[in-house]
Amino acid sequence: MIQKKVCIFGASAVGKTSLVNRYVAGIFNDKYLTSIGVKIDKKIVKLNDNNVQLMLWDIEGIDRYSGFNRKFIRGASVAIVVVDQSRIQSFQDGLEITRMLKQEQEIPVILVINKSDLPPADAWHSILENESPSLFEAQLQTSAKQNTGVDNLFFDVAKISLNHT
Amino acid sequence: MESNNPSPLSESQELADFRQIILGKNNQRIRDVVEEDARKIVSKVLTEALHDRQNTDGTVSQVLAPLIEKAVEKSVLEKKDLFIGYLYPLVGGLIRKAVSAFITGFMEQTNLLLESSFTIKGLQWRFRAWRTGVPYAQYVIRQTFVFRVEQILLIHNETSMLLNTVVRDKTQATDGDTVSAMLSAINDFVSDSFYSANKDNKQFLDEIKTDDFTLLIKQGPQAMLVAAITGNYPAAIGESLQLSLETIHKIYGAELDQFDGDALPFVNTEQQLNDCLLAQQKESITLKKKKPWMAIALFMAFFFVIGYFTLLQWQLNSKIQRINSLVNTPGIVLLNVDACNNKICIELLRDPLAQPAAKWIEHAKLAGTEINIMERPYRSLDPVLIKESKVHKIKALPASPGIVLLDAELCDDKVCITILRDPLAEPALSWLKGTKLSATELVINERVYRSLDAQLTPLRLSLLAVQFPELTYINHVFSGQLSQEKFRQLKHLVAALPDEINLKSIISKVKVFPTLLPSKVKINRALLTQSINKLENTAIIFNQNESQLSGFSLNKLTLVSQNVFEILNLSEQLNSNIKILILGASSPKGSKVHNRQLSLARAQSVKTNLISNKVDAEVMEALGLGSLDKKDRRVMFSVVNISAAKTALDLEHTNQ
Ligand SMILES: Nc1nc2c(ncn2[C@@H]2O[C@H](COP(=O)(O)OP(=O)(O)O)[C@@H](O)[C@H]2O)c(=O)[nH]1
Ligand SMILES: [Mg+2]
Repeated sequence: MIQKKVCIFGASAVGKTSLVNRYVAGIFNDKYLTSIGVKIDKKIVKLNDNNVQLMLWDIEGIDRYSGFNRKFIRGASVAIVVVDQSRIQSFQDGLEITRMLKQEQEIPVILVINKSDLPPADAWHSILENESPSLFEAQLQTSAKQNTGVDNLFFDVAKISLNHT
Repeated sequence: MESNNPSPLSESQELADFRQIILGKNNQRIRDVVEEDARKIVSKVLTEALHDRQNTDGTVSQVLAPLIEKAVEKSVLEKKDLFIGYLYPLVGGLIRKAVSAFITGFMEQTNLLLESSFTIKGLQWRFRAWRTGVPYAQYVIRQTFVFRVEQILLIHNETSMLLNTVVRDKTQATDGDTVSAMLSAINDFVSDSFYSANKDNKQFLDEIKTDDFTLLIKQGPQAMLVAAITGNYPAAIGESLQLSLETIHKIYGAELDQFDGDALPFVNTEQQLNDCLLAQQKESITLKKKKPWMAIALFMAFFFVIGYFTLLQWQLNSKIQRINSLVNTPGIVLLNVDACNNKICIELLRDPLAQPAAKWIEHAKLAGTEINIMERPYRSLDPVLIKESKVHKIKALPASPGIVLLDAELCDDKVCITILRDPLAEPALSWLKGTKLSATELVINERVYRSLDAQLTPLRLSLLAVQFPELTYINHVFSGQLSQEKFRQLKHLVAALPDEINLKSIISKVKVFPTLLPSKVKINRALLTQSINKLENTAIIFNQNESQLSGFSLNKLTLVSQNVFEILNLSEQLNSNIKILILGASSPKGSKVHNRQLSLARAQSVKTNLISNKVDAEVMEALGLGSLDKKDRRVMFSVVNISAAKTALDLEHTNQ
């Protein structure tokens, strides 16, 4: 079976881990993984033609001031950048991360706007429209809390991961 | 010093000159002295002075700090390795904290994996592990193995993806994918944490270790090999991993390069991975608290088996020793004795004349042991065997008809022979000529017997022929005529011969006289008696002093001869042997000598006459009786049955 590495980035508390946990039932408890900075889970996505096993690297705690381990992106087929629509700052951080990723490696980046159950921050939409140009391969809305758009997200990720390479 | 100055200028000038003389130009002399001691003086007060000054205005640290910073920087740059060594323990401590958190989680997962791989025994161990407060995984490891490679993972460096994995227990569900990714992550994390400064210098974890559990990592350019090992593993595993990893790189170089998540091309790496699934089992898995009866029983059984085999071996060895120390026997040379498959294999040379090898080996008393004798013939020069060969020669002599060898053995340097010998057989010595032994070497003890050897039959027949002169014997066949009695004798003797020849044919040509009836015999006897009486009553009379037969006597003698024929005929029929005495007598006149001569002459002339009358001379005996008073000048006849007794016997037989 084809395996694809998927890295999930985003500022702290945007809901990365919640998204992954919602999607998979992981063996590892989050608490150890925060120490190293990554939590890895896997999930098989059933596509029409073939199945893909996604290795989901949930990369911890990135914000404007603390970088991330660039090596984690190595070998990944897709990067997911999660933002919290209730916090403008998380979008700024997301953009920053995306630029850093693109510097590191040519890779499709999917923008995930999480916490869609919460009201968006003031001026969220205008900022989003201004600031998210062609940086992202795709853009999705999710709510880990209400489990909306999560399956869709990973289905798209799987498809994009196959097209890539 | 300045108090008594006469003239300020001149004085001062003088003073200056004087000073110059004393102190030297520009106080050189005193400066020399002061400089000489300055180092000592400053060194005495330096620490205190710095301390005082720092306390006063704090300028010392301001001045020193940049200097020290520069010095340290220079030092660090020049002696980098040294400083890494100093700092490692400090940084290591921080990192360890992070890593240990990961390991705990990893161990927990390993626990899960291990838990699914054991069954009933697993449950027992789980209980004991719980009781002794040891984590189950560790307990299992401790109980079972010195070490055991539980799983091998081949991980793609670039993507951190699992290319292939082999697990010892195939039924066990593993999450090699996640483990692989996590391992890569921790590897990256650790190597980054230590060496982020130098990106070219790639650093890798090569071992993650707890008390009983180890992840051994071999890093290759495109892939890494990870062994999950329980227990204390030997260095050889590392080499084995390295070897497999190199092989995989060699074979799958292109595939590793182009890997995009499809692990299919790496299915065949299983072979290389399996090579790394090494293990060394603990010699015994016994628990101390309970008495391990099974183990004890097994051990005892093992001990007894070992003991039994040792005993067997020991017995075998002592038997071999006994064979080796057997007293030499002539004609047997022991070449080799050895144990082979719980048997004793003996290799020896043996003279065919020597005693059988098995018999000789019996002396070693090897009851119950199978013996394999490999015997090769040879000719011994042992004197005993040379003597023995004489006995052997005798025993090997071709049989001679009528001689049976009962025994031949050595007795006092000679050969004692006991034989049965038929009197008809050849002499014993002539038979023994074939041995080329001289008569002095032999002691012959001969016993007579009657052989049934058919080869002696012709000889016996020819002896019979001597016994039966009335028969002719040609080509083993008798012919002729015999009385019934004699024929019966012959038949009897022939019947005693071995029946290999056709007995009937031997005597088929012998005819038997017609058998006389008993009445006829009686008549014949009567007739014989009558004839004898007639003859004995006949006298042939002679003239005085004459021995010539008168004409009358001649006629009478014709009748006498008839009478004699009659008697002989009858007596022959009666199987009796008779003699006719012709008795001459004279008158008493004349001398005795004359009379005897005269009487004999008269008997002779009668005999002569009877011979001329065809009477067999043999049956007649002429005797001169001398002078007789009453029956003078005559010849008388008397019939004597010379086989009287025999005849009587024969008659009895006939009567029966
Ligand atoms: N309302 C709402 N809260 C969420 C959602 N996703 C995550 N959260 C909350 O956001 C907080 C941080 O989430 P977490 O998954 O730890 O974020 P991470 O730091 O990006 O991994 C938690 O309290 C979550 O319950 C969502 O979709 N809606
Ligand atoms: Mg998280």
